[in-house]
Amino acid sequence: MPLGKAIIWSPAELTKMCTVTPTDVRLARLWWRKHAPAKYRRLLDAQADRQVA
Amino acid sequence: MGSGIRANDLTPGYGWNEDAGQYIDLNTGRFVSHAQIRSALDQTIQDAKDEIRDLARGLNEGWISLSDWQTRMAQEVKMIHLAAGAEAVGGWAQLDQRDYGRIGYELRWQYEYLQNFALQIESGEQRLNGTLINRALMYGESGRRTYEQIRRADMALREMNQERRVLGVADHCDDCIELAAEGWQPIGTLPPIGNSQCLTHCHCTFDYRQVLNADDLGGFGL
Repeated sequence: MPLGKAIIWSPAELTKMCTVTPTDVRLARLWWRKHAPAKYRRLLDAQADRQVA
Repeated sequence: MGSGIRANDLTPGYGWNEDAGQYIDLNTGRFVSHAQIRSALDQTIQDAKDEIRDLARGLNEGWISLSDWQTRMAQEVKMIHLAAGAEAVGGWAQLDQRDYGRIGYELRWQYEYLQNFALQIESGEQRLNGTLINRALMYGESGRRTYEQIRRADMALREMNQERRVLGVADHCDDCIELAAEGWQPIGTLPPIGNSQCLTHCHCTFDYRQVLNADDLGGFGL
């Protein structure tokens, strides 16, 4: 397969790519659980004590 | 520890103590050290680098196009930086718009580097060999910088006013050794992780403290 062309992102596209959406957060949660050591897979699911106390 | 949270089947194994700015192991009720948290990030990034390596190999071996590689790298980079940012502030639930903005700032210039990287691949300036893989892996490692930058901003909000560079478990470049030797400095004045000769390979971290009166310490650097 030929390499093809690189993508040139416009400033507007870059801005959109750098914006964090709820979908990004959902995917990143899965990403962390996939790659983190077993002991820390749920680390980022931590709730602040003052939220649940 | 001041936490009213207890672990059960429906709650995570960790909590976040907002006042202390530290994770709590809900099974033991003890704070989790920053060294453990950084180690978790390092191990996570190390694992994720397999995917980056596979993508780079795909490009080298011709089974993925340059545009697909660039798109998938951009997505992987976003995951890494978003997770690193979340870890720095106490987890997903603690992320706010200000954090998203900081993560976006870090992402922006990573994407600009990535685009330049892709253009160099297209032109042949970057050859399709092991150097491409090694360079691609640096994008994964850059998550450590985002973690440290987001944590630094969080520490400033917590009214920490001094920082010092702490050498990680790694071979150290001359820059990092010199910066660590500077000891305590005003927060935000030491170069970010990733700006030394070792670039994204850097395993340094920062310690923070609050000094109400510099005279108490005889000045900075102690």
